[in-house]
Amino acid sequence: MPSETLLGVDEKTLLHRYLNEARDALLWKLDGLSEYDVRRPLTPTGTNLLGLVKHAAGVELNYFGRVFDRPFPDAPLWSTAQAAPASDMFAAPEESRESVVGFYQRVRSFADETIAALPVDAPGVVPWWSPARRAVTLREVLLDVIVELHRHAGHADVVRELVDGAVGMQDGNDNMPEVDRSFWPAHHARLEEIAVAADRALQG
Amino acid sequence: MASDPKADLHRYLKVIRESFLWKLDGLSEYDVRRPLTPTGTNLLGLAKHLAGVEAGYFGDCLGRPFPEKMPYDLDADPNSDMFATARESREDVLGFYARATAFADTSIEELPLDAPGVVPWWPEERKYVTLHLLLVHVIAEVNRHAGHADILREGLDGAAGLRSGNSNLPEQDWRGYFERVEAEARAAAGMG
Repeated sequence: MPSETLLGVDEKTLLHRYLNEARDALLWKLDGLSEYDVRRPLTPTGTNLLGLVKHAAGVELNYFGRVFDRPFPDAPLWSTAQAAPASDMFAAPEESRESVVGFYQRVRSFADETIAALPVDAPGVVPWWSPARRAVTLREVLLDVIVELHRHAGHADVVRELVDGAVGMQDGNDNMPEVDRSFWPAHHARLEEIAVAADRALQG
Repeated sequence: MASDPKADLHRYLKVIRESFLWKLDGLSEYDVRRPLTPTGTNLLGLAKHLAGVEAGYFGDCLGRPFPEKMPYDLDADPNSDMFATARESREDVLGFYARATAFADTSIEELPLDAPGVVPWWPEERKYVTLHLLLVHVIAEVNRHAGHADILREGLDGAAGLRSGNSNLPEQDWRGYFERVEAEARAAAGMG
């Protein structure tokens, strides 16, 4: 009786809602940044905000496409097994921000069609997983994509904060403590002091 | 192949907890506590926060209060669940995490997915929930914080990856890749 377990929200609707939260957060993290800042690599492995959106599009296109034998039409080379390593993790100069975001919107609609069309127990096969694990259901795929996109939204949180200091969980609900702006520099200084002291104490 | 919703959810929760804890492995006392963003995000603080998250959502919210006093007071200090104090050792925080997650596991095992719960700090129209919703919520939250931990850890010592034993990253010249991404970002922005 899955439809009765969630106080009026069925299982697929619940999973879809959490999928949308991660999608929306990833896109929101680009808001108001310059062309350079959305593309700037902020870690040694090159993590950058526009690349995370492009990667999310590739993830959804494959998991909600090939896995259920509903391939995305004209999948770009970077989203396939023939792609150069990590070429889905950054936008080339000729790919505008609008084209990357627009492509993700199209993939998102395509994925939503798969989710709407199939029951939550629908079987699928993930060809790039180990043979022992590759037989899956839509339920597992939804969960898998939810966890992957939320983890990437976490990457985007820190990258965005390092770029311009902007923080928050969702557009309109930052989920941060209600404190004055001046709280944070003092908080940071206090934590740095504790960290230094803890290290010294341990080394005697 | 049929799958069992509760077993699937519980498995995903256990997998991400392990990945998260792995991000603290092998770091010095300083690095595990060092604030690395302007709002002070740090690895040991994330562990403390996530312990509180599990104790709350799988405890109080389901009418099964976690039997310990929380090692922070958000009324007195609004961000006190996000860092370990000078008096708290790494073992104290990781012990709290282990007890909170074991307690959460008991709730998850003993209750059916449709067990009702209430999240007092959520808005009225969303606060009446089930274990099912709480599981999805906490899985999403732990994954998002694990994403924070990924970037912090990589910034500290360059260690990156999905989980212990499976980095899920391609083998390549990352230094060269980084330089290419930086160059292409500059080109796209007309910075030459």
